[in-house]
Amino acid sequence: MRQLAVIALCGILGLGVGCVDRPWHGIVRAPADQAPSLELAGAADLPVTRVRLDSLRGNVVLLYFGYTHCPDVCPTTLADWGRAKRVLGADTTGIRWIFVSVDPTRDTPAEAHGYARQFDPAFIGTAPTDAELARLLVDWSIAAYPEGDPRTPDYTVAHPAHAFVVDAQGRFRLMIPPGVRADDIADDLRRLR
Amino acid sequence: MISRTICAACASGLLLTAGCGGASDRATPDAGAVDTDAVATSATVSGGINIVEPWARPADAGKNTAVYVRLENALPEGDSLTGVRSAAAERAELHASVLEGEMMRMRPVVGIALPSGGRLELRPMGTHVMLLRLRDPLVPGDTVQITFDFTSGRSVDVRAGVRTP
Repeated sequence: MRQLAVIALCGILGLGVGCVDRPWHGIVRAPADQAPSLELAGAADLPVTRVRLDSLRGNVVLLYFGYTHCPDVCPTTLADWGRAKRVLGADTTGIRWIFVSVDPTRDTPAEAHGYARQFDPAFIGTAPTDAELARLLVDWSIAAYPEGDPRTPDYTVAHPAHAFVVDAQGRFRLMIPPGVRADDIADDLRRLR
Repeated sequence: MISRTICAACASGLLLTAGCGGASDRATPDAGAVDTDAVATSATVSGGINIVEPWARPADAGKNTAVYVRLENALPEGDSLTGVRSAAAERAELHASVLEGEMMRMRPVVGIALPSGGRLELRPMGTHVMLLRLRDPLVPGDTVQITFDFTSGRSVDVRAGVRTP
C-alpha cells in the first residue's frame, strides 16, 4: 500500500526515473524479514569462531555456507569477497564477512577460520557441530548434504550457491548469486551500510 | 529461484562439448574469470592440442584444489579428454560445478569432446581439474604438474602456476 502511494506520488510529480531505484546486483528479499538466528559456539580456544548473529546488529553481515575441501566455487566466492572488500577500500568497518562450513565431519571451527582468513585477514570462518548444523539448515531454510561416499575422504558437499546479506537492522536483505562481480558486491554493500 | 545455469550445467550428460566451455567466446570478465595479467602464461603444444594458461589455486596439504586451463585442438581431427593425472595429489579428476536451483553441486565428468578447431575453457565456477588431497601445500609461486589424457592415446603434460585469482 505504501509502495503504491509512492508510485502514485512519483506519477503526480512527474519525477519519472528519479523515483525508480537502481537495481541491486544481488537478489532482493522482499519483504525483508528479520534474519533467522545463527548461533555457533565455535572453538573454545579461538573466540573469533564463536558467531552470534544477534550480537552483530549494527553491522552488515555477509554469510556464506560452504566447506574447506571445496576446490572451485567456495574459493572463487571468497576471492570475490576479498576483491569486493578491497574495492570498498579502507573503510570496511561495519561489514562482517563470515564463512560457515556445512561440513562438520571434516571441518573444525579453527580450520574453517584458517581457510577464510586466506582470502582476507578480516574474514571469519567457523564450523558448526552436527546439532548446530541441523538447526541452522532448518532456521535458514537451506540444504547441505554430502555427495559421494561420506565414509571416504573424497566426498563433495552440495551447499547453498548464494551468499546471504543481513543488514545493520538484522534483516535478511539480499542473496548474492555466484558470479556477481566484486565491484557489484561492493556496490550493494555500500548501499546497505 | 534462479534458473540460470552456469556453463558447467551443459554437462547434463557425461560428455561435454567444446562449445560448452566457450568455443567462440573468451572468458567473460566476471569475477571468476582468469586474470591473465597476474600470471605468466604458458602454452604447451603436443601434436596440435594446445594447453594454454594453466593455473591452480593455492590450498593446504590434504585439501582439494582446482586447476584451470584452456585447451585448443588444432588437429585436423577431433579428440576427447578422458582423464587427468597429477603426482601432486592423491587423486585427480575432471569435475563440473553445477548450479541447480539454489544449490551448488559438483559432478564428475568422464569425458569432454574436443572437436577439430574446438576450444574448451576449464574455468572457475565451471568445469575444472580437481586435485584431491594434495600431498603438499600449494602456495603462490609454486607450479604443479598435470597430465591430460586423450582418447587417441595422446598425453599432454603441463605445469600450472599456483596463484590467487
